[in-house]
Amino acid sequence: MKKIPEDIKKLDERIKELTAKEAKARKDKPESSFAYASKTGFRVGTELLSGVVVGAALGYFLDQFFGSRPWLLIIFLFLGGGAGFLNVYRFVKSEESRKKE
Amino acid sequence: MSNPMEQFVIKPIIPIKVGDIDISFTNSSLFMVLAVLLSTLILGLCIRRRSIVPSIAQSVPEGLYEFIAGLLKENVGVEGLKYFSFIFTLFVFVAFGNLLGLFPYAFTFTSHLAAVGGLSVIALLFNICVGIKRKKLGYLRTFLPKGIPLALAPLIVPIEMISFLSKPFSLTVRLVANMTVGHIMLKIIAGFVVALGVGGIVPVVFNAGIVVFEIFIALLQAFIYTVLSCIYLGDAIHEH
Repeated sequence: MKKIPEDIKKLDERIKELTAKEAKARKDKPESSFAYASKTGFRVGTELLSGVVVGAALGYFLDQFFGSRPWLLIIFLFLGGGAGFLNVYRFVKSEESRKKE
Repeated sequence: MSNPMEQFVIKPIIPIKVGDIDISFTNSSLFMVLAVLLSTLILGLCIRRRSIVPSIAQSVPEGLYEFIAGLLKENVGVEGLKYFSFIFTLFVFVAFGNLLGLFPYAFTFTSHLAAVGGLSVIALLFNICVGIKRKKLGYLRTFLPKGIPLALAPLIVPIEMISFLSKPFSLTVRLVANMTVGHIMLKIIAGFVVALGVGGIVPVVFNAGIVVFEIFIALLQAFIYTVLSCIYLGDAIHEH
């Protein structure tokens, strides 16, 4: 039974060593630029699109509710476009601050 | 060649109708139940024998726990650990749904907007509840950030509201699109195998590679979905 603490100590050292190695390897090899670009591109695309789609859907249902077709649909389509750009702007800003770290 | 979209058809297994609403038990529901049962069974069996120095089986759920806890600490902060069970469940459910869908003849419920959208709406309601509980009326500030002149409010408030509502939508689309695309690609390339005869060995090898890649994508998308729900939760708790 006396041997176990010795083993654990060794294991602890090995874990620390390996984590340091892994962290170093990760720093040396950042995410490939293609993977990053495709991921970010897809994200920006969906953010932009979802604003417009949700805005249009909201306008459509509000129109049905108030019986004011097509005015709210038109207004909310443009507002949705604004929301889409806002989404992208926020995403890019958070991405920038993440890169600076 | 069979239709590559056929795998996404929802078929009722036990038809149930309440009034005009169809709440049949479908193949989609079957795999949701399967995901819940399997994840409970596997995680439960792994931690059956609890010891301080974990066995290999025990280290799997422990690693998962640490992973999600780290995610929450990073994106929400220490107070986010209160909502650990929700985020953990979300991750395990989506990951199992994605992985189960990779088995032959299986149905991928994460490839349906309705299923993932439902999860996203739950996350949205959860965040609204948490936000209102923590900030009370100050939660309405989400729709009108500080430092904006009141004259702009009629323009900013609807835009912020749409932006708020579009978050679960983009979350859903990203997961659904990734799962659907992968499965269609697998089916189409598998269709070439029969058509090419002896040369079919090429698409078989290619498909084998894609399946490995799909396992990676399945876990990655579950991870991304969870991270974004975490960030989302963080927004509800903190000020902008």
